[in-house]
Amino acid sequence: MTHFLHPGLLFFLVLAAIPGVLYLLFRLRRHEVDWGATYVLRLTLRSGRRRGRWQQAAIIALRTIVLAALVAAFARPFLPYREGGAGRFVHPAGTLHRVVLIDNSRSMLAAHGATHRLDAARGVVADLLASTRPGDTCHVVTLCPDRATGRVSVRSVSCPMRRARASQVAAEVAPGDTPASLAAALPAVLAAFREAAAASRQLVLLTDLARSDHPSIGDYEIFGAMLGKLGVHVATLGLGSHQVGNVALESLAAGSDVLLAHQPTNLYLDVMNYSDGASTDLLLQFRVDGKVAREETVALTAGQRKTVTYAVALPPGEHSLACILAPDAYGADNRIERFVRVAKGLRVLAVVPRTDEQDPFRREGEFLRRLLGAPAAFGLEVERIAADTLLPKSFRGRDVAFLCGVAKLAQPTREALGTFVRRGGGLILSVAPGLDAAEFNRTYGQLLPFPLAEPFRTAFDEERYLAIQPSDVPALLLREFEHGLNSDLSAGRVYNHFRLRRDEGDGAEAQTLLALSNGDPLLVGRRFGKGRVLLWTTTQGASWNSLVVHQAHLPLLYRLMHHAAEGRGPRVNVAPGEPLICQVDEGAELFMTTPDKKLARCTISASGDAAFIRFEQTDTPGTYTLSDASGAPLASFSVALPPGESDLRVLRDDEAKRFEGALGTAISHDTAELQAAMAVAGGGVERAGWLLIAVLLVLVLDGLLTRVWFR
Amino acid sequence: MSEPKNHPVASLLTGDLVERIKQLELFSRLRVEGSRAGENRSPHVGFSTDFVQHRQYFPGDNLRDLDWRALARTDRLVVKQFEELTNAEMTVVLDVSGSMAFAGQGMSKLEFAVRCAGILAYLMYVQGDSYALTLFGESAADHVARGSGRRHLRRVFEKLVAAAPRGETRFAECLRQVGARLTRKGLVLVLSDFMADPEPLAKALGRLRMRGNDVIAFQIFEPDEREMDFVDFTRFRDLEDGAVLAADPLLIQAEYRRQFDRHQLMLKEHCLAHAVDHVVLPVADEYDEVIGDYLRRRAALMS
Repeated sequence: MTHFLHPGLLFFLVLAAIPGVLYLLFRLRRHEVDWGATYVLRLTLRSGRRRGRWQQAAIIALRTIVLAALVAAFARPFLPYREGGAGRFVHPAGTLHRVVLIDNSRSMLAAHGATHRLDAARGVVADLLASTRPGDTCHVVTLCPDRATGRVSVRSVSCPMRRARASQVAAEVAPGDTPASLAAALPAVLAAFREAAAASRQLVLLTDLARSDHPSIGDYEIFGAMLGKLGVHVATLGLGSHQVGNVALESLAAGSDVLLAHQPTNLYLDVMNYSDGASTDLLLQFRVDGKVAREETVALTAGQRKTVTYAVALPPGEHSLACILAPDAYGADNRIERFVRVAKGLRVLAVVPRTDEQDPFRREGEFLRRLLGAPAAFGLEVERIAADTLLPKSFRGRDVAFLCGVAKLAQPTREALGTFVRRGGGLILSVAPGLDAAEFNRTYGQLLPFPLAEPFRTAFDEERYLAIQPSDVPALLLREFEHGLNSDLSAGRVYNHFRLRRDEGDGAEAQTLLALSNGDPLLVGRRFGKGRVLLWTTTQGASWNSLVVHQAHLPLLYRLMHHAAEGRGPRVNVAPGEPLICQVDEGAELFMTTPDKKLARCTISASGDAAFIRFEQTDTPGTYTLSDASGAPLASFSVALPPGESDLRVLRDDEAKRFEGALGTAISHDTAELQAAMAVAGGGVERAGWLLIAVLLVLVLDGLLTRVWFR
Repeated sequence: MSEPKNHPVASLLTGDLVERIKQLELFSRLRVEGSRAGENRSPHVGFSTDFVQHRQYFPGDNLRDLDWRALARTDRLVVKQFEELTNAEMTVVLDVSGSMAFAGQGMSKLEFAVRCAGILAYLMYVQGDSYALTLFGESAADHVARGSGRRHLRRVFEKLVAAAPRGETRFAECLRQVGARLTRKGLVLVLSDFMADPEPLAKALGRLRMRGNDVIAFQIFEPDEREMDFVDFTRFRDLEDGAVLAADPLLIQAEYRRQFDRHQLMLKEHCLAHAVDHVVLPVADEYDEVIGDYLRRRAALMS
């Protein structure tokens, strides 16, 4: 049904009766003329009376139609969107500047009908672009900022646009590899609106309204105010649903990518229920190298995260570990795979200071020396040397260097140590009583997470000590020390430690792994090049702490050495955007197969006497396989799913209300509702132009018929 | 002509018009029977210079009429007979029915017809022919008997000036009455708009023709009557019977003109079929030129 912008003008439809009224008036008018040729007139009337009447009626009808159409045209009719009709978005009067803001985060790959949310959003984008007219301005903006620049993509498209081209433009919106950021996109939207002037402005937001994407809804209010000042009508399509929940396999880790052959290791699988309801009887399948190793069912309450532990002992070599969950709305997080390298053993260099101390148990490093004395059963190959015999070549062939209380090194040795760590070696440093902190800092320089400051206490007091805070352990690395038998670390006593200058050093890289009860770090770590550096702020001996007598101490040391040695081999499990690096044979023809089954040729680069490939296109999460020209797999890599994209839970009702209020919008839940919401008063497919053309044609017809019939 | 201004002749024929009329001539194409010598051919033989035929000499014939050459050639006594030229008896029949009252931009059909009739009457006077005038409408009772001379002219003109349109037209009856008054073969000039069925009308004219009269039907044609150039819805009141016909001119114009032209054509064809001369005289202020053009063409054809 046609609507009118100015329905009041329809009152003037009475004017359409003028031709009929005039005709009747003329018939009544007494225009009398004396006529002499009445004989001929009578003949005429007898012959042409009937034809004349319907012709006259037709002419009057045409003139009535013309007047009615003119009045209707001035009333500006428009056809609003018909409910149920696909692909029709109303176009308001005048020029339009339409900005389509599409959420291309990974959570939009959740199922939506027969396809996924991003596909559904693309369809709406195509409809919106195809609904533009000449003179309009249109932009397509994505919600996920670019990883490198931090800016969202703003694409200007030409209007009008045929449907085929609109579908093509929409299809070019690819899933992003960063979380959606409306706060980053809205400034770009405002800038786009300020670029061009138009009679009407529309912002159409297509998103799943995932709760995790909108941590601070209040931040949108200022943007909403600015949009309001610009006269922008904001419409929102929420593609998410309260009914849709998601159980995600968030991480599968062993605390280290380097495992020792046949050493029992716990694998930790984090399962999260991103639902507002409980999920029961979730079937989990654990696979090692593609074979089912274990199956179990888990149950999670609403919003619960659970860690499922699998113990493995693997032979040396490359192994794949995978966990699979039954498919749900978001399939990308129902399978997680990790690749681990199981080494035959770790080659450890333990360096202790030479001392004149007679009591062996008071010598710094003695306990370490003894602890590492029988390493074979633990897969360790340990070389123990005194610090004064340490040479640059000592680091060759080693995975980990443990320097216990060594404050001074010769310059060549320092350089060799730096190279060792940069190339992936692990370095564990510990202090000693009486250690010259300044010299220590000079010796290790940039390797340190933080420089040493002064000792916490100036003198030993067995009555005064600090406890270790295992709850501060952020890393999976030390998870098993949080509970159970190994939790006796918390009973440890630390009588003294070196404080750290946390305002210096590369704080962004450093991570506190263990802390003391006063908040001072006990164990800090950082990456340095490919390697890792761990710094104990207390001694490895019994001088300043009681750790050596606790059962967890030795396993902890082993775990730390695994962790430190992680960089020796290539990283096979990376985050999106991180490169995949692999040592290869020079001259080989190599290809990388991506998770979306695309084949990319790899370029080989030489570094020293080795050749490597460096593959940068890791935006898509999943398994990447390096193969040779014959297709034989050489190495596998895993790119993790970006964090946060599994949480499909949409804004709660109160949050949705605040969202609507902040942006001045109303959330529609399907396309039809969105189209109806956009069919604002004054909007519609205007028909005035067509009416005026019709009036013109009818006038021409009227003239022609009058000339033909009545002249 | 030095008539006083209020003289009926002067009211119709002004100044130089009279002189121009004298340049015209109107003679019958047929042989008419006159009462005295004139310019028209008589069915009888007479004493003009136009040789007609020879006949046998009978004792008592004028010897001057003997064709001595024929005697010499044929040895037969024959006399020459010459065409008799006589004056014509002309009858002007003027339609004064109501329809003749129609006036377009200028004078009415009747006014035009009266002036044309006046010219014809004066011409007859100048030629020395005898002429009569009949005004007809519902009947042909209004009549000026045949005569000639100035006084007769005055009587005719008085009748013409006093002519007023009224009533319907009964062509057949009126023409029958006109025919009944004709004693000799002559020239009958009918001035009318002929707004009636052409066939019986032409038949009535034909009856006059069949009696040996030279009949000329002058159709008084008013162009505005054909055009019907109105845009408003109009009530047409018949000038003859007062009946009103309402019609939208825009609707009927094309058809009306077609019917009018068809009527004209049919009238012409029927007149032709009855050997009646049909002449269309469009109403114009230059009535003398209109009638004069016709008379000159006619004279040229007859010469």
